Amino acid sequence: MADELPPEELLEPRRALQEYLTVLLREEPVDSPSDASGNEPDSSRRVAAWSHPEFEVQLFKVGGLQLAVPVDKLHNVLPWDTGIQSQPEQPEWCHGLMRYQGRAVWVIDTAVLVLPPERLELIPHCRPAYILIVGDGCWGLACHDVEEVVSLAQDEVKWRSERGRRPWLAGTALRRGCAVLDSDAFAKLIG
Amino acid sequence: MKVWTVANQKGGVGKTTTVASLAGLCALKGERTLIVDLDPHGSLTAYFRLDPERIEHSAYDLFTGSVSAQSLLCETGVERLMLLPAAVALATLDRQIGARPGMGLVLRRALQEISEQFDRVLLDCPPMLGVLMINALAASHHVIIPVQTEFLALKGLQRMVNTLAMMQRNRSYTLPYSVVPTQYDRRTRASIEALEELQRCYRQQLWDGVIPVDTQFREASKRGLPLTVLRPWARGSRAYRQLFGALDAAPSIPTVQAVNHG
Repeated sequence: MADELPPEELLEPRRALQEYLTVLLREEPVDSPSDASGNEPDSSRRVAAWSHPEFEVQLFKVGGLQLAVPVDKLHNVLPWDTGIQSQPEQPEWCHGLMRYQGRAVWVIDTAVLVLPPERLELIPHCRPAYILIVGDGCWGLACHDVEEVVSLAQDEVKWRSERGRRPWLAGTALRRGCAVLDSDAFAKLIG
Repeated sequence: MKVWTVANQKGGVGKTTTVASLAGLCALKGERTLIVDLDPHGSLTAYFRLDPERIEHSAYDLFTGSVSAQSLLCETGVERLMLLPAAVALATLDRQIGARPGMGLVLRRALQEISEQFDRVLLDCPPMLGVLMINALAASHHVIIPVQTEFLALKGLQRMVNTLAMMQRNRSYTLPYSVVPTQYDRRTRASIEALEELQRCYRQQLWDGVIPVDTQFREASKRGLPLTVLRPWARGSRAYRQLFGALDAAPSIPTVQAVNHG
């Protein structure tokens, strides 16, 4: 009788379906055309200094989009209900200002920053649930869900060569299917 | 533009009839209406006299990205009602792109392109969970689940509701749905008991009418016209008119806006 091959390891049914949906429904931030093609040589890519040789990220969700922020750059995770006050003439990508450890922190409407307008319109306007404090405690990222912390190797990320219009998008973790944010870049948002 | 998906993970429950009948009503009401056939069997396509085995351009082309959605639209013979047809090749999509990130959002983007041309879109889903059904649900504002009033169909409904629940967990919003009892024959115990079971288990989502068995549905499909257009006074047409009124009044998630190119 011929030797039987060992059965391939399959996921538990519910998890298999959930992962299937997660992959198919993944929103991807839009890069410049040259980035999207993925044809550039690796040498042109801007690898973040904090990523060597591997780094931990906090995963979080905005609408259907999964994002990651380096744990080293994360100050705190706060519940949404923290007295955010909208300001007259504030930029459209801000929810407003809040107090955090005695200082004023801009809370960013993360979806506006990472999604192109046509996709943004399709995300229902539900209230964020958390604020991730980043960027030396000066910025808060509004999000709908905070997930696990995972470890990423530097070569697991497709680093963006041009930061262009969205300097805060550092790259995409292909296996995880999430965009990695460079929170240092938020400091450049208000000149 | 409002997008309704007609879906059930069981075949033969009246999905295509529901799409054709509701679309006919929309068109009669003056709405610019699009129906999209996402079922590789192509029943809706065949209903309107196109052959899904020979058709040159179809919903398949949306996934290859080779042509615009606009160029895939076909006349149906009903004023204000257009069809984006299916091809048998749709059956291969899961094998080709089933695990590629973001491929569940192809249809939603395609509909955005043509959102200024239509007031209403109805999507006819295949009876199995796969990349096509996910595309339909992701593009949709409301899901209509026709359920044949018989015991086995109730099991299919549970699978469909589970799928919607998983979609909602993934998408962080609630996708409203309505359960529509179909092929109801008040002379049979099976129909009566199945309806009672639906009323017990799905009270909130269950439409309070029924689509009756009506041989004129078959006659309408032979003629290539929705029954609601061919014979608006037929029993089946009257039932779908009531259903349309109830669905149209139901709240749904925000509608697709035209893409701002400015």
